[in-house]
Amino acid sequence: MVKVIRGGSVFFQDDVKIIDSELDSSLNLPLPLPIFLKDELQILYKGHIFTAGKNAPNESYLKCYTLTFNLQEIDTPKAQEDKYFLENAALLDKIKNNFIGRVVNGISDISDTSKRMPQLGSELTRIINEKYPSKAKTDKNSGKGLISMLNDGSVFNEEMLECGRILIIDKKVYDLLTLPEYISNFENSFEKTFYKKVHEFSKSAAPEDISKMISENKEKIHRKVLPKVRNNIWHSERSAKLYLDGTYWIPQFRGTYDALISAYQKILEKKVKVDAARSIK
Amino acid sequence: MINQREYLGTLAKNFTSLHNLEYKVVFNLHENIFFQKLVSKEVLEKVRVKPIEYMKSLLFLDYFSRIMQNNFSVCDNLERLSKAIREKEREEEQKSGIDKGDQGASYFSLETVVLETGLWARESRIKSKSKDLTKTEINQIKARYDKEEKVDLSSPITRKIEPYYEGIGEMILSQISDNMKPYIPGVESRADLGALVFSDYFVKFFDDKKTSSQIYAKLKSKDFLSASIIAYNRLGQEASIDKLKLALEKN
Repeated sequence: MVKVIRGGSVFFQDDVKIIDSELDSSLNLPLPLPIFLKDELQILYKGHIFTAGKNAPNESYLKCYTLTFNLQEIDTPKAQEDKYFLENAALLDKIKNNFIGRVVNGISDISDTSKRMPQLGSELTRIINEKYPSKAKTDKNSGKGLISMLNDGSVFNEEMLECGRILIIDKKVYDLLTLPEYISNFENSFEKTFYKKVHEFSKSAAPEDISKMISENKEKIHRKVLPKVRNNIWHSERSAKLYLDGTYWIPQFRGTYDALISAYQKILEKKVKVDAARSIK
Repeated sequence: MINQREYLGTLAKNFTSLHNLEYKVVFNLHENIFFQKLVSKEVLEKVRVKPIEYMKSLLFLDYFSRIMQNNFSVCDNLERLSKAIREKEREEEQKSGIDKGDQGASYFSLETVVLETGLWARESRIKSKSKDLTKTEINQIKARYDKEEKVDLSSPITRKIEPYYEGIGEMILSQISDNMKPYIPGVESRADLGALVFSDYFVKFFDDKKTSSQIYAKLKSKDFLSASIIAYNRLGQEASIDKLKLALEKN
């Protein structure tokens, strides 16, 4: 089997041609996608997924108003993706077939072995991978390390960017900031020496204690910024609190989760396309 | 016997958001959700209220402005009043060197908000030359009220509660006085909830047994709208400058 390059397109013997323009077309994957199935608060942290539970709070917890809930780990991304692919197997087979039909001129059925072209499958896989280049993950990792990074081989954990520590609720995404990270947003509003002291203290102290320290030194912070800094850290027994991996976190609004879903859909589509390409024997 | 905080949490979860404002700094996650589900953006940021009564005041003002009045002028008025008091406070603070913060008089009590709202209702009555709301006005209020869809809790999807929203439910529950809590199971929409809160704070601040018993009767028959209309009519008659001054002095 010899491949011939003509004008940027890849041709094989028997006039089988890969149609480049169709490679990154959308696949119309069945919804809902895994990971984003749940209509409830989820915390995605180091590849693990947690939801709020009603058991006694343990080493990880989330406080909403005056109620505190334990954080419980649910199915891993890998388990959720496997379930998704299994439950949608028939539909996904059709999608794969349709994709190959659109992308490879001359093959309308992957299972058709009359045209045996192993080189076509590997060539197609290579081109798809080039179309969807992997990006280096840059997720910050600031917990105490009590929870280790989950490398479960899922598409989500392998390829999704900026999901290392986020909270999702009501189709919105919140970044989880550590207390020092949150305080650093206001550095210029603090007296220099006091800022250093608070920043250092916030690395190990509880939100209540940081808030107390700030309140006792309010002349060292710009008066307009004071309530802004303090209120989100701790203001009363009605304050929020999130404790996970030995660290306190403050959810900071990032945006709606549409961008996240479409990014995930894209990498799932890549997987389906690669699977389709590999199934050409 | 329903679990009230679960029930209110489930309702809140199923309310469509009134807006998508997110306060990244001043307010935390559950406070932002509370605002999005229950308080119009026009009400937010206008009113300075003592922290413990802040949410109550917002709920009261939202129902009054959005459903009863169909305008938010009372919030602007509260903002002007608060700013004027704050300016005076600043002068005093400069002399004494003591910053009262949210304990100062420019941070209103719920009672002040209710009385100022009552004066606003009174002015509306004078303008419309009718002691009580007219039939036409009631029909307009009803139309706005009915726009708020009832949550269909017969569906397992809407009925499902998640723990985090139970926390939101607790937050809502704590805005409601104990004597009003028996009527929570009749609440089916955001408008019902607003009417219950509105009636609640009228009963709380006005010692008017006759009106209160009329309000309770309507609430018992799950006619939250009528309860709030009774409260509104009396609020305009009961509120006075003298009562407002007294409330401000107590601040």
